[in-house]
Amino acid sequence: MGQRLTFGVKLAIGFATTAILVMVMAGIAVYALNRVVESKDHVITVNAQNLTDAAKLQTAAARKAAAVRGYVLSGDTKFLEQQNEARQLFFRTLEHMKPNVFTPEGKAMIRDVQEIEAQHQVLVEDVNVMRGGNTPNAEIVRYMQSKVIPTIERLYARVDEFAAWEEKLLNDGQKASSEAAAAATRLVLVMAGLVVVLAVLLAVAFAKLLSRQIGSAVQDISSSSAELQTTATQQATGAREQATAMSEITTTINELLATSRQIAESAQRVAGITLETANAAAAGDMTVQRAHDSVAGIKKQVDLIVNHMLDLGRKSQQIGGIVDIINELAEQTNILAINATIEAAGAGDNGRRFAVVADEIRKLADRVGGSTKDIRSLIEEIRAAVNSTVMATEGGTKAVDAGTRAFSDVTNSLNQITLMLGATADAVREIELSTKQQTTAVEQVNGAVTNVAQVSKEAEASTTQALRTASQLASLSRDLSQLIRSQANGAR
Amino acid sequence: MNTTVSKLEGRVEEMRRLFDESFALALPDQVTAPEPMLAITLEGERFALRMLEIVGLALSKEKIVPVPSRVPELLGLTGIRGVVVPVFSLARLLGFDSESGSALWLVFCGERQSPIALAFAGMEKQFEVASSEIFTREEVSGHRYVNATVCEDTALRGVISIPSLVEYIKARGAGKPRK
Repeated sequence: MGQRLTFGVKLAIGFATTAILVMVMAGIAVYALNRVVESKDHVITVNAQNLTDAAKLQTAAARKAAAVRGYVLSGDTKFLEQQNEARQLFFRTLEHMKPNVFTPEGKAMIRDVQEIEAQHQVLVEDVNVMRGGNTPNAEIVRYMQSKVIPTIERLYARVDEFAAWEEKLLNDGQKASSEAAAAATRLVLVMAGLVVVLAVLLAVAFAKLLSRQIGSAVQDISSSSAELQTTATQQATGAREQATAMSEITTTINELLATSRQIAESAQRVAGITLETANAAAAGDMTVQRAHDSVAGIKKQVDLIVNHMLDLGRKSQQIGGIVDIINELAEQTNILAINATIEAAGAGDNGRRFAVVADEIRKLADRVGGSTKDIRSLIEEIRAAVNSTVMATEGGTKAVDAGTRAFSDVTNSLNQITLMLGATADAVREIELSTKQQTTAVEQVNGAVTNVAQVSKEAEASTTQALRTASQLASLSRDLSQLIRSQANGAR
Repeated sequence: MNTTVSKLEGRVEEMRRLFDESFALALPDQVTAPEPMLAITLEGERFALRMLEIVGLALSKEKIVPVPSRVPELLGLTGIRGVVVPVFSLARLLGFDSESGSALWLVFCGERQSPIALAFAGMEKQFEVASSEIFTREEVSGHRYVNATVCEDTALRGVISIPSLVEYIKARGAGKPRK
């Protein structure tokens, strides 16, 4: 949270804390001073007043005793008034003392003094009566010496004891007041020391905190300035390279300009060549058309050959049927010859000549049967050859068809070539026009690149200035860092 | 194909030559005249028939009508030249248990007016052999009615005795022809 507070807020917190501590210390000092003043007031208003009243009591008692002695000696009534005045003073003083006596010992002494004074008053009145009568002086003196004077001495003694008691209380109060004052002084000193220590601690803590934060910020500034310096250096290098590159680009664009002009010239030449090629393609189309007609004639001849070969196959099949008939005739001839042989054998010698003829016929039939087998084999070979020829011819027909289609494809291709050559000529003209436009555009680009080169040089100068500023910022951050470090060392 | 044509032309020339020779050569002597034989096969075995013992040969194009009979060798009846002829299986008569294939050839034997037909499948050829080349045996290869052997083209064939077969068939009483 301390990182989020601003320096002003932190300083305000520090001063507020110090002020609070000072106020606390002042409150404690006022409290201690009040305690001391109260103690002194008690001593002055109670103990000292009681001591004064005790002296007044002694005085009143002495004045009463003197008035008694005066009346006894002179018989003057003014001493009686003095007795009454002394006694009234005694009682006023006594009544004034009572509220200020708090201790039981003091109260008991007050009661004793009041009783002794009452006893003395009775004796004094007896003496007054004796003096007003005809009582001899000697008796009055004896009465005085035996009763009144001891009573008054006892009163004096008791009043003295009370005065001594009050003096002791006064001394005790003075001592307690001095101790309270000393304790208040010590408390104030301790609190002042605590406040000083807390103030020092707060000052050190704030100093450390602020030093740390400012140091971190200064460190960041230092690293940022270093990065800025590096970046500025890189930008300066890049700007120089960019300027160099722009120079190269300018050279390249000039070369591109020359190349564009060459392309335009080449496009013109290509347009001429395209026109010549289109004429050649048209001539090739006519040649291909003639070849296509020739192939169509070959296809007709091949179809005729196929029909002849199929006819030959059918004829061979018919020959095979005839051979089958011949074979069957030979077989039947053989059977007839065998039967003739049997008949000839049955005829004995008469049938021998017939048997010879029958045997020859049989042999002839056998040979005819064998020949028919050879003829059948020959016919099978002819049919196989015909089939092979038909298949080969069909293959040739297919090849001719493929050739015809190929010629059609070639014709179509030549037509397409012619069309494409027209399109190529148009494209070449467009290329020529585009190249001229490109040349114009390249010239404009050349001007723009020259401007960019100028801007690059200015950017290089600006980057150099930025590098100088970054260096100054780095130096400033180093100085600030050293200042904070020295303050931190001093605080430490 | 040229080879086949030249072979065929050579055969035509040979046939022409043999035909001319048949008229040029003299008739053979009776004593030295060979005996005509028929070469057949039954269930893969080679046999021969004396043509002097048979009265005819035909292909069984006419339908053989089966008839119920106690004789297992009787295949049925067929007609030949206006005569109803009983047809017997030659393989069964010789003792073969089974007969593969249908019989195509018929040889006629016995009397000319009431012949008996013997059916078989394998007709090979006619050949001639000297009588001295036929060797008589009591029984050949364990087959009945084969009482001689003949050597033809280095192949030994059993000669079937047709008269014995005819006698056996007549003895079974199944060979009487009917008009």
